[in-house]
Amino acid sequence: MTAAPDPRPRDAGTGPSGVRRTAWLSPTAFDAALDALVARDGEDALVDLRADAYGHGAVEVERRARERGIRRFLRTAADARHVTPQRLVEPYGLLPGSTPVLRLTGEVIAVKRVPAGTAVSYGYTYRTRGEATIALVGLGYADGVPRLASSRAPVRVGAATGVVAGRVAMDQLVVDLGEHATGAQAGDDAVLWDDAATLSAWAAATDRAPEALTAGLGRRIQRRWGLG
Amino acid sequence: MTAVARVDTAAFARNVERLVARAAPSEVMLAVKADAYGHGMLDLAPVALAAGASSLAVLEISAALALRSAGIPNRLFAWLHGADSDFASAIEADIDLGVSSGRELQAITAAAAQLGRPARVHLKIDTGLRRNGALPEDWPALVTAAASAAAASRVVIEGIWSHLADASVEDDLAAIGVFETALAQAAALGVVPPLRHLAASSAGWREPRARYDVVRFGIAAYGVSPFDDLTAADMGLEAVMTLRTTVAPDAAPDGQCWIAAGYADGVPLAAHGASVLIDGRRCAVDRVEVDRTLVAIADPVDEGSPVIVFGDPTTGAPTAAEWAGWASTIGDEIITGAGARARREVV
Repeated sequence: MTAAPDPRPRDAGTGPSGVRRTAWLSPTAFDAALDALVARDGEDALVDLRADAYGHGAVEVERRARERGIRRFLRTAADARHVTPQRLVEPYGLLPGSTPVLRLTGEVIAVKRVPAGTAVSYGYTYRTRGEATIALVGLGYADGVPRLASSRAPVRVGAATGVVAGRVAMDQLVVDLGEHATGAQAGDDAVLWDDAATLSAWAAATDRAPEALTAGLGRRIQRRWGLG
Repeated sequence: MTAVARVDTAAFARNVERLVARAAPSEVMLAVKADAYGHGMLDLAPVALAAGASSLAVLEISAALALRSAGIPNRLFAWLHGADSDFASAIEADIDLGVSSGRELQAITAAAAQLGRPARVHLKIDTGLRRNGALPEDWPALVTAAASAAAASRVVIEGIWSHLADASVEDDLAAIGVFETALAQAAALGVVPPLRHLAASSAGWREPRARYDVVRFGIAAYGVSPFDDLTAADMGLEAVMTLRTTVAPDAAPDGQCWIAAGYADGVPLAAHGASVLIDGRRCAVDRVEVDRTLVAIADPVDEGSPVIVFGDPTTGAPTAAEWAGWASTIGDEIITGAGARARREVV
């Protein structure tokens, strides 16, 4: 596992110690997408680096893309003028049915067992249907997790997939894992999206394109290129 | 230029002064989490303290350590901890730590034992929000464990605290009741810390019974109202952040122009009925792309003309709160998102 340097200035106070928030970047998925581009487009194969490579980290994306033989990079709206929008997000696996390069996970901070009808988060807009395990996750809209996901988007902890319970807050969200998920505990990873299905569920729940979701991810999130 | 988030420190200082006066005699702990809601924590922390806040709330220990390194001597409160949180550094830097569970208390006392120095802790009761904090049934056990850690000089119990859900006046009063019960149970166990804190901007402004010793103001200080029925201007608060850009050179269809900021610069997505200010006129937003936004114009505009996406309402510009209404969210998300993405200019 190697941590790629984040090209952007780090927010004050977001050192390595603290709550774990990780955008895992898959070299396998990225290389496969690039190889397919080069096979199809040859020298015209291109990678759009705007918005810090749509949140993937432009420095490392460009380095890896050059290694795969890509020579064309887009950096401004003017560069992108004659390119179809689909081509811009292809390298990141963001077209429907592709494997996304970026998977978003957060840390479970606390787990509670609560009775049926328990109100959760600001405004008490959500109540648990039955007795439930609820998990507090250290990701919020300051991290680019849109508040529109409140009570709508899926989150997985271990084998259990639940829904965001009530309002997404600035730094936290709660997930209702339902009655049977008793194994979740503090320190676990919570997965917001890790494949085409979960990413498209998040995009639909938050009324935006997948590339807008990844581009929106905040600076507290560590970008890590993994082995797979 | 793409987009600039201009931060008006004088307006921020006046807002903090107003909140300090409102909360008195309770003290003000100013929330500077999420890089001061996107405004720049290290820039605004000294301003908040000079304007009368007595302490600062961050989210994580790492942010508190950055403030200490910058020379801030005041009380700093960090309350969201992960498995890798560095409690030893926090204790050495005199950071006040929120404690929500026996597990967290154990990790903190272990670090304190190793250092031979007590940690300053604030015990959290869950009064209904169901995020962190001990559930009422777990509260006596947490207080008992903290009291024995205090007796062993592993911790100094500085506070008891919680978060309100801001659901309704009745719900907040019910939460105050839970908080009172928790305080009474702690007192019966011999724990009577100097600081009780419950209210943030909403109850801090409106509910004197929730103010206790300290009010943790956040969003109001950044010039955004926490209420649906009261604007920031009604509260005498000024906009702190202005998101500006310019008319872009890109060719646009008749009756429209591109502005040089998009969602990657903090222009909110999923907004319906939004507008921006160009040459003193409101122009309707048609489409937001990654680095530019298409807007409708009544008359031709010059490339490079200034555009205000949101800012001071007295200039005719939309406020962050107006954008929040268009995007079905709250102003907190609008300013935090823009401040983190656009280039920041602190004046």
